[in-house]
Amino acid sequence: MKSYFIETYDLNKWYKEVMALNKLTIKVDRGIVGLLGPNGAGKSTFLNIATAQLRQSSGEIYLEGQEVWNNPGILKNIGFCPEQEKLFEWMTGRKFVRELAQISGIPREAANQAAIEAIELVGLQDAMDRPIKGYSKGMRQRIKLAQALVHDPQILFLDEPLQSTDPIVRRELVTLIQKLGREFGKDILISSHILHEVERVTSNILLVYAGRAIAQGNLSVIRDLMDKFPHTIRIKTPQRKELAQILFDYDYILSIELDHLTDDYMSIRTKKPDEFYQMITKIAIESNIAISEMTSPDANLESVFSYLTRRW
Amino acid sequence: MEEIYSKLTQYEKKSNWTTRFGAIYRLYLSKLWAVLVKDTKTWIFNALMILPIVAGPIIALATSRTLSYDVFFSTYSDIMFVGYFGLIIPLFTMYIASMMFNDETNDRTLTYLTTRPIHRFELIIVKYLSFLTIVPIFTAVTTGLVYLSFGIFGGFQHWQAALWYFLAALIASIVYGAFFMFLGLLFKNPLWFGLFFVFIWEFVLASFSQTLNNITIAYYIKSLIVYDLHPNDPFKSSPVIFAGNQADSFAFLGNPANAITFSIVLVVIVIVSLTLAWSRLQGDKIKVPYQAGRRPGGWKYYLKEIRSFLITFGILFITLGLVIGPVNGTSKTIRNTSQANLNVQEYPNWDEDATPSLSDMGYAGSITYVFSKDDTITVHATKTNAPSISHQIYTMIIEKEIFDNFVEETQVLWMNYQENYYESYGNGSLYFPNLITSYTTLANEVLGEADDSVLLYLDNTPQSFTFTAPDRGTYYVVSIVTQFSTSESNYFYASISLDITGDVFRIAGYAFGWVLFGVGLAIGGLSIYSLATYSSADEIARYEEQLRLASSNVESSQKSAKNSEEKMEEVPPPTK
Repeated sequence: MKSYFIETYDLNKWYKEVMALNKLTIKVDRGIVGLLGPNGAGKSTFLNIATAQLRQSSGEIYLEGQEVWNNPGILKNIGFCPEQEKLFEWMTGRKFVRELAQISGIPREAANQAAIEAIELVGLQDAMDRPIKGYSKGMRQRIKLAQALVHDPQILFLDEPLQSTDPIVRRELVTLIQKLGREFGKDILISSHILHEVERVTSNILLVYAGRAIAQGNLSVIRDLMDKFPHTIRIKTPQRKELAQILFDYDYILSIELDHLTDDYMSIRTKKPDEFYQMITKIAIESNIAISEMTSPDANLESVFSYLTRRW
Repeated sequence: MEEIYSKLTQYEKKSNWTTRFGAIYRLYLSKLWAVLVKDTKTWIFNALMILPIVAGPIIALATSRTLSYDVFFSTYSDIMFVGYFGLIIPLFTMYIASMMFNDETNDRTLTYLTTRPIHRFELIIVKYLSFLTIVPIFTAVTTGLVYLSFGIFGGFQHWQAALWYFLAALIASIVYGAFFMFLGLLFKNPLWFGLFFVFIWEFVLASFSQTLNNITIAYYIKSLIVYDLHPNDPFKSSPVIFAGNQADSFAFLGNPANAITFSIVLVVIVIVSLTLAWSRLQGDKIKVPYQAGRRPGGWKYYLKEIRSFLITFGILFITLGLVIGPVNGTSKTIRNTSQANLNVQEYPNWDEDATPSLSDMGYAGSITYVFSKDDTITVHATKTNAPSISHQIYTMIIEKEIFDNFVEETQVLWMNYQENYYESYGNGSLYFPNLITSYTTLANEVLGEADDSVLLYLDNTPQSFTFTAPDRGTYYVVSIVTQFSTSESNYFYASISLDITGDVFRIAGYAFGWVLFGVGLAIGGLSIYSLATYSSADEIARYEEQLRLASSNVESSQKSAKNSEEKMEEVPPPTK
């Protein structure tokens, strides 16, 4: 068995005049790998090409040594959690996962049981018999993950799996992905534009910028560079004033800004984002503050990447 | 967490096509049901489908139910023929079929299916099958409902017409479904193009031009609807034809396609739409994305890129080739029907100075044909009205010159008769028996010179004879009166229809058919070749070799650079 599961050679993809991937020649190691880059770097394009959703403009990509496009045989071993939020809206969650499990080859009698187990795995069993129409963003994210896991694939492609989930679910999902990678030996490529999200899952990352692979390997070196720059995090909570009061006490919070256009958004700037992410869950539980969303705007990361690319 | 997941790893997976097909089929069936019944937007189109139901009661009540059944159901036939098949069925299938893939590609939910181990062609097939399960039945049943609304007031007469429309609605929605499914994949917003296609292309072109309507689907559907199940029986035709209605005028003036043509065209539209939809879903382009020769794998790679097109055109050429060539063979029968109006009468009503034409004289009707050598002509002839007359009528084939001479001679007779008629001041009819006697002598002479002839029975039984043209030449097919009783002056018709079987021009078409078939086979062969020879292991090896070469080039260039530096150092400083 090779030590990598994806190999690409001169992989190009352009949409009319926009170059999404530019002569990408990489080999992705087994285990959990984080695909990191700002929005528009070509992460989603790469994942879509790797799962045969898109066709490359030129160059080749091989999964386990087999070509990807027009080769349904290899899709048996692939699970894909795509970026888009739309699902088959007219179905219930359980039915959705069940039908997809059947298409992946699980017999009809067993598919229902498998679907229930997969949904239980992502913690959505309460909502599984409701139509997907009424799902929230976070629930959609989890049902997407369930359909990617239900047929027990060897390779998992997760496109921004943690986005728009609340901190508690996020922690559960991170644990799940870690266990899949470490205990069940799955090969997982997880994309994100937030470094600290990926960092909690894996230390092996693949850094993509403007369609090129600019770095591959251990995270610690890159993180040192990035930590020198303040990091902006946007938080959505109904009790933002209470949260702001608590956060003022921590010295690594540089500034707190309440959004005056909306009632429940606030932005904070911090020097040590990884510590902040660890702490915020604790605060949320202890002082009983409901945090419904946590995002990191891209502009911040982009400046880091431009810095990184300038140096190399 | 681990426990649950380890349960998931237990399931045994069998990837056979029945489980895949079944799951996708059920999924799409439920989706189609949701679109058809639960979506409020679709109800606009559903209402359009059911709208003509009100026509039956309205017409019946507006006319106080005084219309005859024929007129009443002729209106029914018009509503179906123009309204349903011209507009409503295309519009409805356009909405349903073009949205089948379009909404999934637009909101990218198709991803959930295409990341599963299914071939994209299977997706097309299963989606089309789920369409076939619901929509044709839906359209056909609504045609039945329209008949029901008419039938309640019209005593359920002419049920054959309703049955005929029921079957045609099935076929129409099958064909339109495949076509619009492809259109839905072709355009990001297919409704605009679909509306253009239905209103401008299908409706206007099909209604207002007799040549351009050949490139509409509606033309072939309508040809199917007016197809005559009893070609040898002039009293029976397609059940939807009522004297003077739209279907009637299409059948006789619209030059409808024959059975072989429309059945092949309709089947080919379905097959080609499905394969083109496949190539579209697969993102194949005929244009080479970059120069095939410059990349490893070369032409083999290019063939792989356009495989779906190869298969499409392979199928298209093989079918067309088979149809033009072997199926129709070297001989194809052309049928040609016409009618002669025979009306010999006492009163000479043509210009005094002009020579009378055949129809003025009324003793014969003729059609000109050019036959090639060895053409075989079967003439079917029958007298179609005036059952009780004692004249003798012959239908014959005769060379042009002989018959022309005969016509000139009779013209002299008729002109003399006219002169005498007007000079006799009211007693002109005395000359009529004379005219008939001298004409009959001439007619019997010319009958002796005819190449072949048959006496038409007076009881309107069809007659026929077969004739083989000895040489290329111009012939007349003539129905002629050879004996005439002056006491009866009925006019009557003689119908003639010809089956012409010739092989001169057919041989070229036959050869062309085989050429097309050969091209089709070659294209199909190329696709199989690309399927069989392409190997990803070879490709990887080629790329690795390229990379190795590139890196060794870099090394060697570095080495040579180093060498040159060393050399530079060795060069002794110039002495002054």
